[in-house]
Amino acid sequence: MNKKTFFPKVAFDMFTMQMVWSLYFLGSLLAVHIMMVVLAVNINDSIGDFLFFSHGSAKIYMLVIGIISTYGFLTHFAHHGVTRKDYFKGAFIAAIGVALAIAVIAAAVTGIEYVMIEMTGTQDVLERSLSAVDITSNSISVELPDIIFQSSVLLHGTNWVASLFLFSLNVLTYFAAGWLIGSGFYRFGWVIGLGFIVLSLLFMVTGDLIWGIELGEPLSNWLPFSSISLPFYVSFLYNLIMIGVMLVLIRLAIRHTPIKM
Amino acid sequence: MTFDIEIKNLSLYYRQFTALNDISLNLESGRIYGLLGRNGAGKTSLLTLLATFRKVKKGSIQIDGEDPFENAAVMQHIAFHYEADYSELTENIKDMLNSAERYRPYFDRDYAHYLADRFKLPLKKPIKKLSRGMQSAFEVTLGLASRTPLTIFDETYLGMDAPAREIFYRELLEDQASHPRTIILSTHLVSEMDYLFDDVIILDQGRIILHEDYETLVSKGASITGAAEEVDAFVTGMTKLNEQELGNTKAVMVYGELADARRTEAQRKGLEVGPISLQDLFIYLTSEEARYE
Repeated sequence: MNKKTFFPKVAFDMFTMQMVWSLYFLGSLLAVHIMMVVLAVNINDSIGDFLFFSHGSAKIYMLVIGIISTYGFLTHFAHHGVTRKDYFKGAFIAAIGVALAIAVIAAAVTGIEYVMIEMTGTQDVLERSLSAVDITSNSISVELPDIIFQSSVLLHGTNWVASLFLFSLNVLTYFAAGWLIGSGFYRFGWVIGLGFIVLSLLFMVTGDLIWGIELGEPLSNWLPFSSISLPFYVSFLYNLIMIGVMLVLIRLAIRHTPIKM
Repeated sequence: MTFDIEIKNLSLYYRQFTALNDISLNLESGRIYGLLGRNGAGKTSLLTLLATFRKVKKGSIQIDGEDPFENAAVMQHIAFHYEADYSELTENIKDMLNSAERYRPYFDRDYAHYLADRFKLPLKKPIKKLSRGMQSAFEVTLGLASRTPLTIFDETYLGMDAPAREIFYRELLEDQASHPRTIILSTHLVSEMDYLFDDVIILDQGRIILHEDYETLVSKGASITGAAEEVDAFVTGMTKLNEQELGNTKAVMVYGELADARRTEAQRKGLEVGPISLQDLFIYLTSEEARYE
């Protein structure tokens, strides 16, 4: 009767609940994408494939579910007698699951997309290499790490596992950034909470920079450079350390936090 | 697991404000405790510490000999029910009961459904769409059906109407008889709940001013009823808590134990001696006059 730990249950429950949201999110994103493809075909223009299209939005989506995680779930689980520690572990495992699942679903949809495009003979509508895509656009939703785009998922086959993994790592970073903001507010209220926003922005911006994503306005104005190129493993290592640091800060913030009633 | 609770020299401060002041208390498992106090007396503060919703900074709480804070083995057995804000909760009652069942080892699903039926709760309706009374009824359903060894109800029943509260009281007593646990009922609905309590704890301005079992407590005073002049004569010099008059009949609540000789004397004078009501005692003990005695 005396279970010592509940985090696997928390992870499963949070994953299930967040996947329901995620399917709604991906569904609406797909609807918009289909409309854009149809439009592009009709005006003889071209756009990025679904994986490319969903990457930017998925980051923002993960940022949002990260922000609401502590408010939405910590009180809920405390109500069920779950420790803050079990919530923390469970929430992170669930987030890894969601990040991977979104990447896999987006890739699968993209695969289907290529088959359909092939069948309808409208190949020209999808851009297949990063260089051809207009990255000078200000929209944050069209930015993608070079490394993902250059591998051109499912086209050049060889690197697609790495691409999926990087897609996941990237959106997971945004989840952690959101979670840090939410936890900061939960624990310290809005004044110090604002400090957590600045901190999170810093993590997000440097995270994008190390993967060679060019920053649109206005963030690039803050920095003396707009992008940097690093060897793959350096970027990868930096990203892991960054997530680690954010997790430590989140844990410190909520470790002894009073539960909001 | 005995689940006895030992609170030692517990204090809680919110910046300059002292919410709890050096509280020491032992709660025996298997009893129903009535926690009484006026608004702002520190009831909820004490309960949030017991429920580990807040970390103890000064003093200590031990449950079954262990610190309950962030202790999964203990926390799964503590449930804290209050008037929670469910205005954003899209889950329905069935989902929530299922989720409680996953985390509460003694949860009884059949009993939960029986209670939901008693309160006429719609299982499939999103909780945010339920009325306040229904949400309260759901909360007490969750609390009773979880059968946690320490179950805390912090004024959970305020939103419920009188018939629903009556159902709650009856079910509480019945289920407690078959599945004893420690129940803490914090309330200021003293007059309608007093018969539920095995023990009464009165908190005032962050201090415990009384902790006694119910029977002993109500013998600490008496109600004297009879002809107005006789009653007045009899109670002269005693501490009067409350008086009521109807025609020539008068009832006066007095504080202080009544010796046997005095009881006999009252009977000889044709006065009726009854127990005091907890409500009157509570009002008196937390009143300004009593504080300075």
